[in-house]
This record gives sequence, C-alpha cells and structure tokens, in this order.
Amino acid sequence: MADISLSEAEKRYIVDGVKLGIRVDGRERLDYRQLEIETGLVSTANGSARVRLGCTDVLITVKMEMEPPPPQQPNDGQIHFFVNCSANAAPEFEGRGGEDLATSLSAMLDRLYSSPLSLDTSRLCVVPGKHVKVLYVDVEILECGGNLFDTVSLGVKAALWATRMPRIYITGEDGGELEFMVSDNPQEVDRVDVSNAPILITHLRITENLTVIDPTPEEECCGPVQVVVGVTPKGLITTTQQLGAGTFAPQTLSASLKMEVCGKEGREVMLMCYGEKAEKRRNKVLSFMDRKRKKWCLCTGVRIGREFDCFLSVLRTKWVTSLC
Amino acid sequence: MEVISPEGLRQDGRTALCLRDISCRLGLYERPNGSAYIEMGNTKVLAAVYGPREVRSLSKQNLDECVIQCEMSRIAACQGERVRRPRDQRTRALSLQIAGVFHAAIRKTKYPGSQIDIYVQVLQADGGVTSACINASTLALVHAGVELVDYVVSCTASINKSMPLLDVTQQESASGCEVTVSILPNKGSVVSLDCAHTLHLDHLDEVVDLAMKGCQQVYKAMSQEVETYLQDKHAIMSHR
Repeated sequence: MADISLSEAEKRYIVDGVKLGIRVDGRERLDYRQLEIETGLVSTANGSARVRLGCTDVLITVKMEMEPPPPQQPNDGQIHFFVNCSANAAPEFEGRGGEDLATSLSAMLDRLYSSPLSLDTSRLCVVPGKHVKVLYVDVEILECGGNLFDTVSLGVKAALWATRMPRIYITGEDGGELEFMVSDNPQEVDRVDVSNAPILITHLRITENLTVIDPTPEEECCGPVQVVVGVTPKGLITTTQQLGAGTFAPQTLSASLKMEVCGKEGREVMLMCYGEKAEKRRNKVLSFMDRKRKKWCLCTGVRIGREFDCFLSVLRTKWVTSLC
Repeated sequence: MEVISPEGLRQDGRTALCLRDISCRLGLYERPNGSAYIEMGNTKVLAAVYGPREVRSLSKQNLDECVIQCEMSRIAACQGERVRRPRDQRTRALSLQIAGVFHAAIRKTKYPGSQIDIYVQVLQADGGVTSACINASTLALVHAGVELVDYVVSCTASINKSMPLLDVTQQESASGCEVTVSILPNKGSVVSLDCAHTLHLDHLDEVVDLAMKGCQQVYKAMSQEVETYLQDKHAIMSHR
C-alpha cells in the first residue's frame, strides 16, 4: 500500500480536484467504484465470497467447527477473524511484511462484530456449556487497491450470508458424552442471519472540511487521516476508528458520520435485493474465469453500475437537504 | 474405497490415463507485472509475478544474472481441514522448489542485477498442487513478458496395483504415490522430478513416461489459452 510515491504536483492535482468536487477517476466525493460480489467459489469452505471494489480484490472463506465454549460465554457461539495479506497483493507483504495490516484488519473486524445486535451468536449454540459452533472467517487479500476496510467488511457479510452449515442432530447419549449426527442432506442447512450485520465505511480527509469515500491508493497518499465507521442497516454505529497521522475538525467528523449512516442504506438495499434474486436464480459461478469482466453482482448477472449510481444519487440529495 | 473400479473408471469418472479438466486465465490483475489463474480439476492456484525490478536487498544482488524468488501460500480453506498457518515449513520448501525450476527456464542473463518475484496462492488443493503452482507461474511469467527458454509444464502421475494413473487427486495419491514431473515441452527435457510416498524402481520408468505425456497435453491447453489471450488483445493476427 505504501508502494505508491507521488510528487508534490500530483498531490496538489488530486487535492485541488477534490475541492472542485471531481476526483481523478471522474467520481464525485461520495461515489463508490465498480463493485462486484460473488459467492460460493470455494467448495471446501462452508461459505465463501469474493469482492472486487475497483482494484481491490479480497477472498473471504468461512469454516464452521464445533468446539467447547469458553467459561465466560457458555451459551454463545463464536466468530473468529483471521486476515492474511498475501504477497500477490503487494510485494511489500512478502514474508512478514503484511502482518501489521493484517492485525489491524482482524482487530477491526472483531470489534465490528462484537455487539450481539450485529450477529446473534446464541443461535450458534448446539449444547449450552458443552458444544458450540465456531465460525472461522479467513480473509485473503488478493489485490490491494485502496480502501481495504470497506471491501473486507462487504466480503465478510457476503460470505456469512452464503454460509451453509449442515444441520446437527443429537442422536443420543453414550456414557455422559453426547453423540451427534451431521445431516448429509444438502437441503438441510442452517444459515447465518446477517440482516443486521454491519459494514465499514471509510472517510478519508483530503483537505480542510472535505472527505472522500472509497479512496484509491493515490488519494490515500494525499490524505493525512481517515475515519472508519462500522454501521448496521438500522443506522447503529458499532465501531469507529481513526487511522493516520492527522486530525479531524469536529464538524467534519460529525458530518461524515451522518453521511455514512445514509450511504449505508443504499448498499444494504442493494445487497438484500440481490441476495433474494440470487436465491431464486442460481447462475453459474464466474469467479476468476470471467473474461469480459462485466459488472456482475451476486451471480445474478445484472449490470449493477447504473443501479448503484441511482441509489447513491437518490440518497445524496437527501444528505444535502439534511445538512443544510 | 477402490481407486479404480472393475470397469476401469476412477472416483471422478475418468479413465486411468485421462487428464483432469484444465482451465486457465491470464492477466487478472493490473498491479503485478504478470498474473495468471489455473484450475486443474479441483486444484485452483493463483500466481502473480513482480519483475524484473530492483533487488530488495543488495546482499542478494547478482550482477551477472537476475535473482529469482518464489513465495507460496495457501488459504485457510484450501483443504477439508482448516489450515492454520498460510506459510509454514512445507510451503517454504515448495517455494524453493518452484524457484529452482524456473532457474532453468528464465533467461537470467537478460536481466542482470535485477530480481523476479513469483508469488503463488493456492486457493483449493486436491492433488497435483506443485504442478498447478508451476503451471500457473509459467503463465504469469508469460503474461509479464519475462524471457523464457520454453514453457515449464508440470503434471503428476501415479501407479495403483500395476496400473499407471495420470493426474492424481489427493485421495488417489494418499493410497499410492505421487510423482510430479516438470518438463520443457518443446525440448522434451525434464526440469524437475519429485516423488511423494513410495514407488518401486520397476515402475519408475512407466510412471515418468506417463507424466511426460500428460505434460504435453497440459502444454497444449496452456498454449491454447495464451493464444486466445493474445488474440483478444489483438497482438497476433487471427486467421479465422
């Protein structure tokens, strides 16, 4: 991520463009790049998703295991996040270079899902006090093109939505130990309820009072500080974190937090409605073999570019009126 | 479970000398100089090449030829059991092996004082992982435009109850052996030979021959894909 070096002139160009309301790739301040989400790529995992936001590519896999719960929380399942920055993404992640970034990402995801409102972990319990389901969410960064937090959180939500856990039946007791039977029927699966799962939104402060959403690596070089906020569909903020060596003026901070709550809705609606469509039409998984790179979303084959801009533009007008 | 049924079919419906379906793709990402993805049956591997570029640590610099480094990692869900560490001793050993294979194939004297990095990511592993990694790296090097003596193509073979098998899955190799052969297909010379588990010396010749034949078939599939990619980019004239 720090491999990009920009000259002062290039930085001025980016900053002045943002002041005029135009970014280098033609987007406005609050526009997202092209977003593609696909689920069900890795058949060895319970759930998987691949998210591509502009040049950033992440692969998330979810695996379920049964384990005894910790004594403090005997009735709740658990969810663990592991992030791996592979050297494919950026050469400086070779060996142990990507560990710092990986640690901060997994800590962020832990905090994001720490609230019981975001993910109901009591439903992951099999036998209270003895056996609970543990979800291991493994994030693999395939290409690093700016705005990792958003992409990873979208991917985690998509992968959790796509997770299919075989139903577990308790068949009997054998000398104090319970016996389990795992269902072989592919239709008998348990799903994870992600309707309240939060996602992260990153605001990067480029210059005085102006923030941009979904920064590219070049913009990340120019901006001194960014704030990452985790928001649920109902508008609750689960976590915030400020990253970078800079400061936020209080007005800028509160304005960006308000915007994030609104911007959240657009994406949530899109994810939910495409999720329903994906259930009804099971299209062929394109994943890495897609030659034409059209804008597919959740395997439904619908061009999302225009719809997405529509959503955001509708919400943007609402923001302007509410902030004035 | 038997590896080969009495009718002569394997677990996935192939005959003993049949190769798995191969699909590959060049040029997935913009940031690395070269990138490729290959699927050999259920084994899926992604490779990225950065280079030739400046050497990272001057102590490793060689002013006569380029330095080749490889790093291989596996994602957690690549096998049935969750893999806890993406890079461990085994992947380090395989990385050194892959780098060694490309020492023979890359024209190192054309890039003195520089470094070529090959990064391989195993997304799903079902037998023939080393071959898939080598094939994906070759495609990524071709995409990056690095000068190669020839493609490096790799395939696995095994033997089960005196019946030679081509392109074995993990289940099939667990009960027998897995011989991985890498060749330069146009010259027909062997770059690397690697055997896992035990193989009787009497069977060595026929297994290696079978693997080399399999390599030629893999080469056909890979060069077909490279041609399609180049035609899409209008680099070569299409005669259709």
